[in-house]
Amino acid sequence: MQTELLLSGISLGGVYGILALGLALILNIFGLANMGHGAIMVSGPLILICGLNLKAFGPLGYTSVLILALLLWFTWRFGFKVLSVEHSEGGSRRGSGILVMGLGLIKVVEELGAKLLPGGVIFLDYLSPEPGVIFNTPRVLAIALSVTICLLTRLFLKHTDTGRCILAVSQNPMAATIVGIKLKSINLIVFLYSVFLTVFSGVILASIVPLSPFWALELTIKALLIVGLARPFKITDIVLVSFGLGLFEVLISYYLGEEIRNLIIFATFIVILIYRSKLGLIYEKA
Amino acid sequence: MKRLSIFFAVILGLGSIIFLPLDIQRSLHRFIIYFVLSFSMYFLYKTTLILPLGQCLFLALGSYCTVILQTYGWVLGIILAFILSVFMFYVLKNLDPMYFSLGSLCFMLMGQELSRILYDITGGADGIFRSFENGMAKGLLLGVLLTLSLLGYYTKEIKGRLYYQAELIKSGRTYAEAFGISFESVGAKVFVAMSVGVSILGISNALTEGYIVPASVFNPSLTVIPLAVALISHKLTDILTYLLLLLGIQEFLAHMGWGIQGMVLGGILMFLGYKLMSQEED
Repeated sequence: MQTELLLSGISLGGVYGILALGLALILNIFGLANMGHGAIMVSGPLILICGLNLKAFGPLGYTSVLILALLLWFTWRFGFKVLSVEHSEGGSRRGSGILVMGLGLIKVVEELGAKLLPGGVIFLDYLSPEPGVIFNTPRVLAIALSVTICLLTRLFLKHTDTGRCILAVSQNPMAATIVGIKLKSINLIVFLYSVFLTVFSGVILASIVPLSPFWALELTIKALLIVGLARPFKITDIVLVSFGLGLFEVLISYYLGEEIRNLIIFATFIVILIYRSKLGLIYEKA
Repeated sequence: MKRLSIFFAVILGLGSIIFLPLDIQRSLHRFIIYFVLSFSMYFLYKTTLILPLGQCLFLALGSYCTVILQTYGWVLGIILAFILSVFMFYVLKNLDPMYFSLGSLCFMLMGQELSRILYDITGGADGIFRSFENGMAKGLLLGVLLTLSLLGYYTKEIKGRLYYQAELIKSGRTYAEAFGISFESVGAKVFVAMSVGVSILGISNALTEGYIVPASVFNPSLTVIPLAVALISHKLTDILTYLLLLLGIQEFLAHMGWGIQGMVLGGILMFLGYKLMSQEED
């Protein structure tokens, strides 16, 4: 039982790690928390389900894929691109605008998910666990993929020119522009990479637990909790905190009950928010 | 052109809210709920730059206390709302506005989880029911009186000392403190007043509906729509116009039975978010 709990916790933590990595990139480059991050995550398995079963869903499937693609394009074109290039001033309006856009995105994805899945959950059970087998393939695959993606992202940021440019922009966008880094291209790369990571984390999560489209906001909060605890662009921090959160959740669910799991997670988030400075968890930029 | 579009938005909204629904009183009460929530967020944002995402917690508190306890439940609702709002403010007061919003959202989500866990008291996900004599009329009257009182409070405060305090706070907390204005006292006053106001709205909601479920009092729309309206509004009449437009469209789509209200609303919110980003800083 202990091995099973450990496996569940680590696989869940691995998914949170990729999700938080996507949010950390956005947060460090654009300086804003994307409230629609969880909605982008949920849209991943939705697109996959529609893409794989276009005939089964019929016109609704095509329309849903089209709507989700349009939403992502809209989020970039009229959200992040606008705030990063055309309106570099006016912080509170930018933050509020992205907040409202994110909440709108959540609303659309929730209703689309509920329409597509009358059962209310997305579960990509491509390999049902055999009875008595502890190491079920989806969970082991989830851990392997999470670790690989985190490692690849770390290598990308540290050892490629583009990665170094991203780090430079996160430290000082103006200085990066002066030395010839194209801010617009870097922003686009970061946005696309973050969307890829987030969508991918959604697909992995839906392969290990039944995922509800109504979890979008909750998932955003969990990602913010991880990013808030980790140092900027310190991927090892993100991985460790994510694994910790995954294990914490699984242990609470097992020993105290599923019902109070979220209650304790949200209470922890509030405590960390309040005591962040005292715990030394407010960092300078990378 | 702008006036013409506002005129048509108001006509469409009023038409959809008054003529389409079968139960006009319930529809009007729904509008009052959204208006008070939007107003409380607008007032807080304008005066203290705080965006409380957890106002539904106070709505739920007022509603549950009124339905669960027989006679003096409403009094307990108000007292609990007062204590909780003071506690929340003093716990979150030192955080940046963004983290304050997230913290209050977490408090609301905790309340939502608690309402499901304490099923012996709240009825869990199935909810709790209690019928009130002339509940609809009493609830509507209370809602109207609350709206008028809040508007009166706003008119009195915003033209007086609070206006200057708010302007100084907007320039920066340290700057305001240099002029002897404490963010803590102004923020606490407005936050507690608005939270207690929303808990009274919860009492009115309980009287009108009688049946309280977590899905209705913690409905994400009750946070998302008021928040968007509060952020994009420049003055009180803007709140009315945007709410009429958004709720009118929702009511119209619900009447047509297409089941796409949430998606259309989400699309409109995304557009409004973009418009907000394009606006110049005050």
